[in-house]
Amino acid sequence: MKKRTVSHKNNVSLSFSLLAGMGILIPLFFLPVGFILFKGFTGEGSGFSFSLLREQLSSPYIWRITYFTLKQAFWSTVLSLLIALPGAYLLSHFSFFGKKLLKSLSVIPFVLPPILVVLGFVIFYGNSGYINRFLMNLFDLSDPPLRILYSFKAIILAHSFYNFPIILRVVSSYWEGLSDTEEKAAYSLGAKRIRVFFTVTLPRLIPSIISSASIVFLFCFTSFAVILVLGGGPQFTTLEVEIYRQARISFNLDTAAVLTIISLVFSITIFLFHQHIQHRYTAAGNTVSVLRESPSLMSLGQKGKRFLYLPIMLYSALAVFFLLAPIISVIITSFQVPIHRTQEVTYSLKWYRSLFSSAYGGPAIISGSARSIINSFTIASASMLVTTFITLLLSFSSARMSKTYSRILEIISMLPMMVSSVILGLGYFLIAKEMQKVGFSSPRIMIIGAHVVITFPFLYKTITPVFKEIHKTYSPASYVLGAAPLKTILKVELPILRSTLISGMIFIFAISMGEFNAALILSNSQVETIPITMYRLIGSYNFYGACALGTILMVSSLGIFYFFDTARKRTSPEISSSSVGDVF
Amino acid sequence: MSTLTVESLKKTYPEFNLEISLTAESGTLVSLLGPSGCGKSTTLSLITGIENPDYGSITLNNKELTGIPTWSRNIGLVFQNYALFPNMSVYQNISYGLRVRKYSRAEIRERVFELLRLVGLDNYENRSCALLSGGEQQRVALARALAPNPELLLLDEPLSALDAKLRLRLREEIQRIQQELHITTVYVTHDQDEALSISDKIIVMNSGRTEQEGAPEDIYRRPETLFSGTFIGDSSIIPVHCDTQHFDTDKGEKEAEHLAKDSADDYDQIFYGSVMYDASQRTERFQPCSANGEKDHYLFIRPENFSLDPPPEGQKAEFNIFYDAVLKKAVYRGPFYQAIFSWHGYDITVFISNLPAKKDSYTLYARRYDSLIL
Repeated sequence: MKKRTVSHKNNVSLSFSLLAGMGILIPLFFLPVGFILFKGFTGEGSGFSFSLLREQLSSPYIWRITYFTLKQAFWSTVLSLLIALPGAYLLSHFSFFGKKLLKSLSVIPFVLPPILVVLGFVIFYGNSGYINRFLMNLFDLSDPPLRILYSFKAIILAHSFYNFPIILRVVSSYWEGLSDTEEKAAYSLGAKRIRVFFTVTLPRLIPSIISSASIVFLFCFTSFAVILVLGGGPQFTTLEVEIYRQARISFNLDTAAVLTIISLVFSITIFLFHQHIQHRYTAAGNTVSVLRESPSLMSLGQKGKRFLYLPIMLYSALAVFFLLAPIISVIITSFQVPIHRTQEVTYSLKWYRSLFSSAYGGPAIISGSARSIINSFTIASASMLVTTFITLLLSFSSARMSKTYSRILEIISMLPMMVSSVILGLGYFLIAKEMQKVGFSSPRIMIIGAHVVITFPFLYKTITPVFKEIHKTYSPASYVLGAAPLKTILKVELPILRSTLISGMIFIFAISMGEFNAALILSNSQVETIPITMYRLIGSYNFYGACALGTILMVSSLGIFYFFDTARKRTSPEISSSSVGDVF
Repeated sequence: MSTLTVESLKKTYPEFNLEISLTAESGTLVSLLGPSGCGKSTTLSLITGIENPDYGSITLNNKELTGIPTWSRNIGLVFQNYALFPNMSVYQNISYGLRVRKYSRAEIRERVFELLRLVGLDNYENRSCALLSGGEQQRVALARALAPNPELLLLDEPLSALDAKLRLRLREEIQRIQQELHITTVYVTHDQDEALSISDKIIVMNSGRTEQEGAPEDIYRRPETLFSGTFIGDSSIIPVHCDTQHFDTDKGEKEAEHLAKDSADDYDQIFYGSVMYDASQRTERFQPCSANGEKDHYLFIRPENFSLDPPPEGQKAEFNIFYDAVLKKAVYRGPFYQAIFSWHGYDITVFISNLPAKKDSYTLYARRYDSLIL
């Protein structure tokens, strides 16, 4: 009577999707990384050797760069913490006007292209930027009072403004989730406010602070566009920038490969540290959030809390202002035309017209900017589709696998996060050089490959938990009602997933549109994307043109976001609270 | 008609083994009752085919189900969390099983409206499931499960997410619908009241095994194991030493019934439920075992079966008598007092309607027929 029933079909479709997904992802990730490692570990002749590595490691130049990279990342993280932590307290304890805006702005570091941030920074804080002009007018000065551009200060400030929202987001949502019964218990036992904070509250917050700070440290460690433009010289160069310089400007690929290995060692260590901390605190956080009562938000109208009104308003106004002002300056500047020899400006579409006229580079029929816009859209669409395809296959597999295997899959899916986009770009650059030998050369394909690897972890982490939940909760209901697996996927799983999937797709589309690092390494004069053309315009001091193109980049990303988001909201309900940007 | 038979079904997990046999006769409602983690829900998963057994057979209407994929089994299942498809309206949810089976549009329409009437949700067809209350969702889930005319209906803790009042009303409705449709039903619950009040048969489960199977009255009055006795209702249990040579619960009971008819005075020494009971002694009492003695069995008595009033002289032999019980406390429970007595170090719970006059010690009486050895 023994009956062992194994649904073979299910296993076949699982292995197929797993193999297909991995079959695309693994080469896309491991080939470029492998090429760099191969380069780094082969000496003058051929065969495996440490000689190149040893030779480079003995040079003080490499250690100076490494030291500077760590130093700027450290101070950027410290400043980000100082800006973010008061905000995390306010956001997690009070409800006030502008809170929603502040919260949604905290997704900026993930969505806003770094080159746009850099441009905004230059336009807003530069020597003839808005702030300096405002101060000069106010105090009747002849020289700009703030000189922060092209210095260590500029790097730290740009990094902090760009990254503090990550800490703000993580810590405030964690803080909000903590129940305050422990604090109440401490008060009832006679502890004073300060003591309670240091003995009860802070110890519970520390993991989330360390976790978010370590991810900011990693971002600053591998930061590229900010250093490249705002650092402004060999004096302020980091590993990532140096990798680019060695590979694309000095054509010294060996040194670039060695720098990459050093950078990898650091970034992987930081990433694993972050994962370790995060794993611990999310495990603890979950048990807390199950037990917690409704969040104890205080409205500012409450008695005795009015004295906080001013600091809260001041903080959120300043945070929103400093986050938004550079971006808005970019948009405003793009329409400005200075009148010769005066301070006055008029407003027109001059810079937009100049972008699309043949005056700026390129052949007469279609301008360079127009081509880079087309390139960006093609590359972003293609990499979005490929990433979505791989992600769906692997998420589908993950939902059907045992816990252990799905955890392994999750670890593999995070590998791309440990490798910076500059390094991926270099890897693809090495592949492109090999391909050229056999007469194949397409920077577009290479950029798409790099973008697929860069965007995959974001989409995978966004949709897999939801896909799993759907498969666990709704698929059995569909099976019992008589629908076979394929029908269940089409009628139940995908429709319920759609909302999450679409927002994830918009998100990775935006990442690809704005991606600068890998694109810069892989681009050439024929193939540029919008951020690269912006970089060239900034490099030739054509800030107005850069602003116009930057505005186009922003508007097109926002437009696509708006278009899909309304479609999503119209057609499918919200079923999950998992939101894009909560990847870390 | 469709009878469900589950025969020596086995499923092994790293930390849990399920091994179960059960029968649900055609048109009856059978409850699986047990604490969480006892394997009730797993049993349902195996019946539906969401999980596959390692061993055993499941037949419905004499048709073997193992090996048949879930979607071809024609079983209705109401999930604990309802699992209503959030992307579909009430109408679309209920019609899902019919659409999958390719019913005509008109047939589907008719059937959906019929079911909405049955579960009392007329005019709800266009509502979004996300906006329904818990009770409404529960009704939609029931209607959706019943729509394709399943041969078997499974309910997995269908009321556990609802508040107490609603739970009571909906369980009556489930019973009404089940009886109206005359559909064979397996009802999983951890709530003894629910199981006792709506079942034709209860199967008490514990850590993957069947403890007892029977009508609700039998399960309550004649539990066969200590677990099924204590899981349902209140009780007093006293460890006792039994004469293993003569021990046989069934035989003991039969003998007792037989003895109860005769005059007990004829016997100096009788076995009742295999506990040694010495009628020749002036002191009629059980010997509770000492702390380190052999506690191989338990004397099990429901609180309502104790009395403080002595029985008529002639019937004394039919009673077990507990001398020197000290009243520890009495808890007012509304319709009755729950009195806790201490007797030789063991607690005895008694339901009494009025508090007794204050005394140093009391004598408790319980019918032998109601005193079980487990």
